[in-house]
Amino acid sequence: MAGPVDRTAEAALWRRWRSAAAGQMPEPAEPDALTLAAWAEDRLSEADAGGVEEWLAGHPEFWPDLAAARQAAQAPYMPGTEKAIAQASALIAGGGEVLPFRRPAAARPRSWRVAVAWAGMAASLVVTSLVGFNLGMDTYNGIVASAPAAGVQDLLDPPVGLFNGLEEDATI
Amino acid sequence: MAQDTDLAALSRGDKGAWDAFVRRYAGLVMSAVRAVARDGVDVEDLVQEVFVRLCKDEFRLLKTYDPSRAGLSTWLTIVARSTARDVLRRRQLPVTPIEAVPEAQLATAPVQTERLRLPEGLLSPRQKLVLSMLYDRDMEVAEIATALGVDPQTVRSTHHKAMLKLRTHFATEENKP
Repeated sequence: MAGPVDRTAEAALWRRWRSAAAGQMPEPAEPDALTLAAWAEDRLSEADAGGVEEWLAGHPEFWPDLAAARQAAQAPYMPGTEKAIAQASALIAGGGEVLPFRRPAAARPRSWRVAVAWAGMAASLVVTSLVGFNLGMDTYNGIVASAPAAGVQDLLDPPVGLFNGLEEDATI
Repeated sequence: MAQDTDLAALSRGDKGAWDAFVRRYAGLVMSAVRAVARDGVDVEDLVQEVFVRLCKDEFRLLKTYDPSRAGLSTWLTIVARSTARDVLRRRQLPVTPIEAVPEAQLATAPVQTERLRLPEGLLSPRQKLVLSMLYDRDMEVAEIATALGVDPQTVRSTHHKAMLKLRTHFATEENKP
């Protein structure tokens, strides 16, 4: 095949064709899984295979599927896990009815974003409480440290003598 | 393969046929979805999604399978991988890391409007496919040969013929008055 320089020129030629072809040719219809499987096994007519290849050229995400499908036909039997088998078997009840699939709560992947959100809320509550407590303490200490006016002192502490006369030996 | 599977009983929802089908093909489905899934994804979960899709709406998808057109393993592999990709896309989980995507696919092509009338059938579908794999996906000849199930020499020959057609066509267009 061509060397690196030639390959670049060839790539440019291909893209030029593709750019010119876009819009001139109708988008081919997506083939169903059975048609793709038939193509993978070379069981389509030339015309039908052409239609599939036309579509595949615009859908590269399906190319590995077809390579894997071709290999699967020759691959040796591989058992599935017991869990996968049990889950899938449980989809059909004894009477043949299809049971709705409920993903087990434990198996549901919990979003890390939810955990982070809850942790953030808890942390903000703690921080707010601490900041509020510290502000209150600072305010109290500041007021006590300075020479309080009599009125302010009364607000902070109970009046002197409030409880006078309430001792046991008070005169009755 | 399909001969071991009672498709008629399966489509009727026969429990025994379904269990036998699951036991026979769960491993194949698992291999298929594992190749599509990435780290952090529950493969067994994806397997279950595939079997759900197969029996949904009274086995609508399973009833479309025709053994005269393709093997059951081949068809199931395509269905499994396609279902897994759809599920992962819905969950918006990364399937392919960006580093794995060829740069050619990431780069935005400059807007070029070329007023060129291309003759119909200039390139065959197979030629277009090979060129797309080579230049859009940066695949090697051996990879393309495996993907298409052909000999590497066939890929080279297809490429050569396609490039010859393109060079001739564009040279002709450029020489027109």
